[in-house]
Order: sequence, then C-alpha cells, then structure tokens
Amino acid sequence: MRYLFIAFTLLLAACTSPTAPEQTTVQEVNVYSHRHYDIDQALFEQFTKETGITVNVVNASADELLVRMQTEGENCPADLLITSDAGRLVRAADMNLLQASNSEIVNQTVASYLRSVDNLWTALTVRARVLAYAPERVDTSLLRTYEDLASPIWKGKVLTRSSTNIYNQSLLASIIANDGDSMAIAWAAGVKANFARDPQGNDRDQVKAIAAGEGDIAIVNTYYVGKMLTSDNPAEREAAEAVKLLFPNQHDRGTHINISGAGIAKYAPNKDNALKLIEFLLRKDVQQQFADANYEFPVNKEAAASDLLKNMGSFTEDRLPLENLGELNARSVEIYNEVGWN
Amino acid sequence: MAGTDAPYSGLGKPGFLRVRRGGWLILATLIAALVLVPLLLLFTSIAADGGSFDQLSNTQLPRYAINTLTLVAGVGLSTLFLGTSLALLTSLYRFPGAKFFRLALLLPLAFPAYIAAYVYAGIFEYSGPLHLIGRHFGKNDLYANILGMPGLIAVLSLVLYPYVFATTRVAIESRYTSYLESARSLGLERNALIRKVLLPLLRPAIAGGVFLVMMEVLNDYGAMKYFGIPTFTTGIFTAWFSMGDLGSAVRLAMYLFIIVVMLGLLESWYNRRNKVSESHRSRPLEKRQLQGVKAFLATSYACGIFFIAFIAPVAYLFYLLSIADSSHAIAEWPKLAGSSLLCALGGAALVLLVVVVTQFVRQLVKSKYGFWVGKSIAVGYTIPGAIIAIGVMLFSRLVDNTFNQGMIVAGSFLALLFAYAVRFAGVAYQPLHAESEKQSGRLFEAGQSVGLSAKNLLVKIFLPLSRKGILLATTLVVIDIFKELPLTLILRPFNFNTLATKAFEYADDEMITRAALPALSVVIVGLIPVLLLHRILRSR
Ligand SMILES: [Fe+2]
Repeated sequence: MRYLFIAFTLLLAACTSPTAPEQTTVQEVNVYSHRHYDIDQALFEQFTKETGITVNVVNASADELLVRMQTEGENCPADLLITSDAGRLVRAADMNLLQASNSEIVNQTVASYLRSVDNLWTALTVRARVLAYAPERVDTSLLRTYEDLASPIWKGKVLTRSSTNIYNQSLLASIIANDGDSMAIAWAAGVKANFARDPQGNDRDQVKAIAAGEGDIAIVNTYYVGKMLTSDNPAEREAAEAVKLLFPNQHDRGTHINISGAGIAKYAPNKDNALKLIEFLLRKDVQQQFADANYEFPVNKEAAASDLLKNMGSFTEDRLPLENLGELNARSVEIYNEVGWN
Repeated sequence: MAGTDAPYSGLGKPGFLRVRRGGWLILATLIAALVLVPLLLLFTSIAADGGSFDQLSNTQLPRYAINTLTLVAGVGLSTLFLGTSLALLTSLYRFPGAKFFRLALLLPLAFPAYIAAYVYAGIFEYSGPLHLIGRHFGKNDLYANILGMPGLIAVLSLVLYPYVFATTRVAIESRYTSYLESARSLGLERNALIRKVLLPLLRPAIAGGVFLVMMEVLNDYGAMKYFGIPTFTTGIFTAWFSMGDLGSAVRLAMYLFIIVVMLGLLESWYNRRNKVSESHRSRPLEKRQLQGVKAFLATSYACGIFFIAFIAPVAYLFYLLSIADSSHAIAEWPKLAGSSLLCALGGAALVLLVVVVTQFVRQLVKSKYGFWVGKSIAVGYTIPGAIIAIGVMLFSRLVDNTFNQGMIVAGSFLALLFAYAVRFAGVAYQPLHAESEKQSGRLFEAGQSVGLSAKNLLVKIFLPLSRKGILLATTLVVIDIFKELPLTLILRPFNFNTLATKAFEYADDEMITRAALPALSVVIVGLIPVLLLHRILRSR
C-alpha cells in the first residue's frame, strides 16, 4: 500500500510540474485557438523569433474553448481567443470572457464593421460564403442572390452542409438581418425544399457532389475552393476546376462574409503580449502570408489577395456589422430546426 | 456487466482483521469518490443552473430518438452477425487461412470510428480511387455517396464488430467445452451440438460484446457529424456547446443515459437468464476440416471482411500518403507519437490503480457495499467523453481553488490522465471483475484463513492471479486511449498534440490527404496493443 502511495505521488509530481505555466521569467502569450492551420503555427513561430515572446497554443473547437474559459474562470491562463467566425466572438463577449483593448493599429487597419463596437474583438482574415455551380447546367441570369436559391426552379439542385455548422448559421443570420425574420423562415424552408440530398459532409464534399452530378449549386466558403484548386489530390483539383464561383447579391447589399478573429481574454495574464500578437497578425506582410497560404482575404487592405483569389474576381462585401451575426445566431439555429434543415 | 455477489459465508472473521480491512475499504471508497466527484459536480452545476432555457423543439426530439435507436439497433445487429459468424467459423473449423484470420479479423479494432468515416467516404466519393480506377478502364460510374444512415451503420459495424468477435471467440475456446463433451457423449451429432448446445451457451458472451459495441456507438461523435446524422449524442453537443442551452443538453443527456441503463439492464438480465456456471476446463471442441467448396466459401468470407474492414482503408490511407505533402506532420511525428504513448500508458496506469484497488477490496471485504464501490467506478464508460471533460474541468478548478490559488491541476496533463481514468475505468472493470470472480474463494480465502495481511493478499495472491485480467484490461484501455478524441481535444494542456488530435484537425480542416500520416500512425501503432490482445485471448 505504501508503494501505491509513493507511485501515486511520483506520478502526481511528474504530471503537474512540467506543464504548469511558468509566469515568472519567460515572456509568453497563451492562445486558445479554433484555427489549427499549419500557417498559423508558422506565423506564431515567426512572432517568437521577432519578439522573443513564446506562443503557447491550445486548439479545440471554439464552442469547447468558450466552455473551457468559462469553467476555468479567473484562473484561465488564456490571453487570446482566436475563432474562425464572428458569432463565437460575440458569444464570448456576451459570456463576459473578453476584455476591451484600444489599439491604434487595430482601429486603423480593420474596417469598423469587421470588429466589435466595444473593442472586444477584431477580425484577422475575411472569407466569403459564395455559390459554386456547374456552368453547363446553371443559367446564372436566374441566380443572382442568396434569395434566388429558394426559388422553385432549383428544386433538387442545391447542395449544402448541415445547419449545425457555424458558416450556415451566420449566413442565415445575415438574411434575418437584411430581409427580416419571416422572409428568413421562408428562405430556409425554400432552400430546404430545393435540396439535392440531405445536408451532410463538409464544404469540399458539396463541390465534389457538383462534379459527380448529384446537384448543381453548392454553398461554400471561398478558401475551400482555393485549397481544392491547389490540393495534393489531383482528383480534387479536377472537381474544383469543373465548377465556377458566383458572388451573390453584387447588385444590392453585397456577398455575405465571415471572419476569423481574435479577442483578448478577460483574465489574460499577459495582456500586452496578446495585443502585440494581434497587431503582428494584422501587419501587411503577415496578412499576405495568410492570404497566400490559406486563400483568405486580408483585412489589411495594403496586403493583396492571393493570385488565385484575384482570379475569382473582385466583389462587393456585405457591410453588415458582424456583431449582428452573433446576436442573431440563436434565432438562426431555431429557424433551421423549425424548417427541419438538419 | 453482470455480476452477483454471494453473501460472505466463509470462515470466521477475527476482529483485528476487519479493522485492518477498514483502511483498505476507506482507500477504495476514496478512489471511487474521486472518480465519481467530477460527475456529481456536473449534476450540481446543472441543478444550480436550473433556470437555463430549454428550447429543444418537438420536431428535433423524435428525429434524435429515431436516429439514435436506428443506429444502435443497426450496428448492434450487424456486428452481432459479423462477429458471431466469424468467431464460430475461425474457432470451430479449419480452412485455408483460418489461423491467420483469427488474428487478422481483430485488426480493424485499431481504426478510430471518425477516421474510418472519412476514409470510407473518401474511397467511394467522386474524387476517390474507385472512380479514378474505374474511369481508367472506361467505367464511369464507380462512385457513390455513402454519407447518410445506411453508410454510417456499415462504417461503424466494420470497425466495431471485433468486440463481438473477440468476446465470442474467447467464450468458444475457453469455457463451455465440458458441456459439449457431455452433450457429445449423449450422442448429439456435431452440427446439432453447435446449434442446440454451444450457441445458447455463447449468448452471454455475445451479448457482452454487442453491449460494448452499442456503448461505443453512443459515444461516437465525429462519424455521426460527418455523415449528417443528428442523434442524442450530437444533439448534446449542439445544445450545450453551440447554443449554450444547458437545459436541452441535460434533457438529451438524460435520454441517452436512460438508453444506456436500459441496454445495461437488458444485458445483465439476459446474461443472468442464460447464466452458465463455469466448469472446469477440458479439451476444446475439436476443429473440423472444411473441404472443397465449403472451404473456399469460408476463406472468401473471412478474406472479404478482412479486406473491406482493414486492407482497403489502410491501402487508401497509404494512397493519400503517397500524394500528400506531409512535411509538416513528418517533422512533428516523434512528438505526436510520444504524446500519444504518454497518454495511453499514463492513462492506463491510473485506470489500473483505480480498478485493481477497488476490485481487490471488493474481494477482501465481500460486502454489498464493497461490491457497489467496485462497480460504481465503471459508470464513466456510459457518459460521452466531452461531458466527462467538463466534469473534470469543474473538479480541477475546485481542487485548485481549495489548495492553491492558481492553475496547477486545471489544464495540466494530470487532469487529462484523470479524465481518462474516469472515462475508461469501466473498460478495465469487466476483465478484472471476471478474473477475480473466477478466483473468488479458494486461494484467496485460504490466504485469509492463515492470516495473511491485506498487503500480502494483494501482492502474493490477488495480483498474480489477476495477471491475465490486468494484462487484458491494460491492452483494452491503451487501445481506447490511443483512439480517444473528445476528452483529449478539450482537456489537453498547451502545445500538446497527439496523433489522434492531429489527424482530426487536418480532417476537420478538410485536408484529408494531410491527415493520412497521423491517421495511419494511429492505426499502425494501435496494432501493437491489438496484437497483444490477440496473444492474451489465445492464451486464455
Ligand atoms: Fe472552415
């Protein structure tokens, strides 16, 4: 029994000490991030090289990170929360998990509709949710807007992923904000009636389904198409080359966009470092790397979109304050459930 | 999880012995409490949150229920069929490759369900290898969209049938043989013997295997989500994590728990009804040589399943690997594999500590209380990983706030290991319980009667006699932790990635080619404990 205790104590000591954050000497910044791209890791390393500040990262889905921050409370070691949509940042703010920070650089670099009114969070990159279609099967004169997707002429043609996905939730939130609640319900029901198949898979799967002839129009984020066009897998490149992209609502409010963004945690032990990291990520050359590696649109307008994105054509974006997407998220989920969009 | 305890009716129990056992009983109680506290905290925090809204609509609930039941029943039935038929075939007959298939058919166990989901969908999709090869030969329709309910049932069955296969195989080979002997001496012909005597005797083992399969199905999340099947499990995630709707999440968790308890009761009722008292071993039933067409069919069947469930997905992963740019994953590989190993071994050690102590004490005190202490630690296996993660977080914060005013336990590797113990003690419970059940009595009581101290009873009798149970438990837990996802994702410390989390991240970013290297590593490294499992099963 004595040995058991000794073994247990040893285990305890071995497990806790090396991973406990050392706050005393090392300059560091702790990041809770939903984004787990290789480019993010590379940029964090570059940040460390330039500033000497170590970046510690925990990756998980934004939803789980929020619950983790909430549970850890005042002890939460996170300095920076990074998500891949605005809705979760608004939710973090609502849950009182973020703190305001006033930065000249952020204010000058990022358009006001891309950050929170209270300076709680800011966008880092922009992605547009667009329509991919089979050019030989779709008459684009009948397909100009998201609203057109609900028209009965597209019965059996529309492909999309599940409504549990945040990108679809934010899209519907933008429709609620622009068209009103009852129109939004009619839209969701109309699109559902046009499904080529039950919502399933991810964005890339919808593009492949067009190539496979399962449907004609897919709702996708721009960067997935960019990544498919440059995929390791030749068959994926071929599928992406077979579709064309359409930026909806160019003649009225503009195409729905979403962001990935960051906010400083309420109890951040290294607030200054967190701000430094945000400002670093907004710098022109860093934004350029985001754009080139991940096919996202830079928020720093001095940086150019990647060549591949430029080829997709320039477009007008919906300037609806992203804050609204977060506020309407719950309602959007409710509507999806009501109309039975998985 | 069947198990009944005969009231203690052994030899005299001198007072001093009982006092010394008291310490052990307290230790076991403490350990069980430690395992249960996170779950209790969860319930109290939910109760405190009482007013949280509950907007689960009437349209969702039936859909969740129907999907959950269809999935559980579908996978249950198909694994029942696959697992039992393959076990009977390879254990009772000789045919070309039979010996090889006894091992080979266990291998799909190394595949995490979520990886299998991406892999099978990838094989059959439009950009998949089947279509590419078909096109090469002028056949243009060799692709299919397998996402959806039938596909999900098929995929889960292919990775989970080994549970039934293994439990049935063990039962055929080690147990009831003496029944068969006596039945045979009554002049029953072999096929009738198998049908009338052996199959009924195997029922508890088969039911145990199917029960494990159903638990695994209910804990899956990644595969359900990718295939677009909303169930109670995915509903809990959506309600709690996405909508902050604790009320709905709790209601769903409750329904899920009810299903689990009902399945558990069904299984133990069924097993009690079909209980076979274990008899001394005798010569196993002789294997019969299959000839001609029958042998060919047997080999084709085993080979077909092995190909579909293991060779094809592994080959596909290798194909992805060959076209992928894996530079990043290669550079990280040693660290990833190291972390996976550390999780698996550390977690297994903690699980063993919990289960060995509680089972030993159960044996030592032989009271109803001791029995329930021993059994209570298994409850975490019935609760989805992500929910346990929240409970462990609450617990870590409580510890931190009580003993030090910072974050020591929360967010540490220890908290992660602890969570594994809460979740997987139930996996180790079964084999250890079975083992100590078998040896209950004789030697242990003899030891007690000659006044061996509790420590000596543990070290000299319990541990050596439970050796096989411990080995089996360790292997099962290591396999499980190796594949584990939700707990590790939510609880891991800073800068900590395992092969499984890395594979998931790439797949989640829709970069399935880059996921190939870590995914393949999970499977291949996972083969080591599976091979070990095979050896243990064989030697039983
Ligand atoms: Fe994305």
